[in-house]
Amino acid sequence: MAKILLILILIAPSINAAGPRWDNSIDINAPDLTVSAAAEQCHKSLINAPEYLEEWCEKAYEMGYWKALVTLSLHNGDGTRLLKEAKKRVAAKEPKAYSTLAWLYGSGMFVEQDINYAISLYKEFLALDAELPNSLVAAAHFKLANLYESQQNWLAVNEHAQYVIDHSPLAYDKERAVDLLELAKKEILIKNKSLNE
Amino acid sequence: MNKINTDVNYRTMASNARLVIIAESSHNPVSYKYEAIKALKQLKAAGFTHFAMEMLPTRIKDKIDFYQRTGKGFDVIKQHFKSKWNWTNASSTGYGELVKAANSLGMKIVPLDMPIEMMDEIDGRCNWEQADTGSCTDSHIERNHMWADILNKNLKLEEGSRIVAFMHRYHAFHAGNKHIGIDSIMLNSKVSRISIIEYIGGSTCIDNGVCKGEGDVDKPLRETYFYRKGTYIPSSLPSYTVHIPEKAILRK
Repeated sequence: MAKILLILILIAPSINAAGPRWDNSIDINAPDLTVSAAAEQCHKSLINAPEYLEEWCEKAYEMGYWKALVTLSLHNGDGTRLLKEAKKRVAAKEPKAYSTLAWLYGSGMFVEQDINYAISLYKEFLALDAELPNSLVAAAHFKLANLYESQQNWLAVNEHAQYVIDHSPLAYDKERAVDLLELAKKEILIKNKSLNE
Repeated sequence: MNKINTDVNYRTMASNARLVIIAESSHNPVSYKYEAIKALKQLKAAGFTHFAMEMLPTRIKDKIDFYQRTGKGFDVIKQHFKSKWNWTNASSTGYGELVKAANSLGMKIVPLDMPIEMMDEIDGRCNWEQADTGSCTDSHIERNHMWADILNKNLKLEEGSRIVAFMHRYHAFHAGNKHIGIDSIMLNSKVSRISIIEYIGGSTCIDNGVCKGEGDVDKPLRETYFYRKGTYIPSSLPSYTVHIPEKAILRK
């Protein structure tokens, strides 16, 4: 008995691998568990409790939070379910799905990077015939400014960065947009100068 | 998949970078901390001057400075790891050993993070989903910007300074649409001489299915110590993966 106890003490640190920020008091089977609580546990587990990630993200997904697939895919290295779901939702013109699919193609995560396709997704999103949340619209312009920067399309960078400066609720995005705008203006000036020479 | 190289050489991976980010794929394995000590020795010899750490909060900066000045007061740092970073007793000790190693090598130790209470307060106002749709910023985003700002200031302060920064993989790289990594933030702020080295493998990844993405190399390589170009998450910066030989420790 003493031997078993000693073994248990020795291996105990390896059994519980969750970090100190992980909240173990939230019961995954509680009848009053909300989607938002399950979603937060799913995202939080990515760094703080990877061994609980699958159960929490699957739970959040079952409860209707499909973006749990983002975290699940990052964790298991397989974006198949995420891609399929995001494409299905974009085909159904669901506003929040566009940025997820565009992020995958823009970054080359789980798919071959395709900046042009990412840009077309954001443009399609902005052209949707629906009431779009301001934050999502500003975020799309922010992404477009960055994607166009990678293509050195300075006129487009100028247009989308200006939108971010005027409308984004996020200070970090505005700061980055100011830098992008300055860069775009400089590059446009250089281009115009060389055309006039 | 890029070619593997069993001569794990940090000087080669760092090349002429001014900032090397060592990104652990999990905070749990103690082996990552001791591998980072090995990295620090090589990188110090290559001219790196600072060691920045996610695991140290800026609010104990004066205690760290005191420890570096006098060699005394390590207990405060040790206690911090014990209370806030105790994934396992061994890993919290490992973080402490990493700090000691940086100090012995004469590197300036730079704390990066905010207090946990502040993270909770920020997340109370803005959750991950709200942040990922661009309506507000959660603690993950705020922390990444804070760290990038500290790294930037230290690089600008002294022309010859070169920093090794140690953090979790999902801070170094993106973890979502709006959850961009330090790699992108630093690039956006025109710091381009950066190299990222990701640690995978170690003691967490034997077939119990709990550590996918941490060290999913093919079976014959599981016991091999190697590095290769490229990382699990794509990055625009030069990036490398160091695989630590895996050891069987079951968690479930």
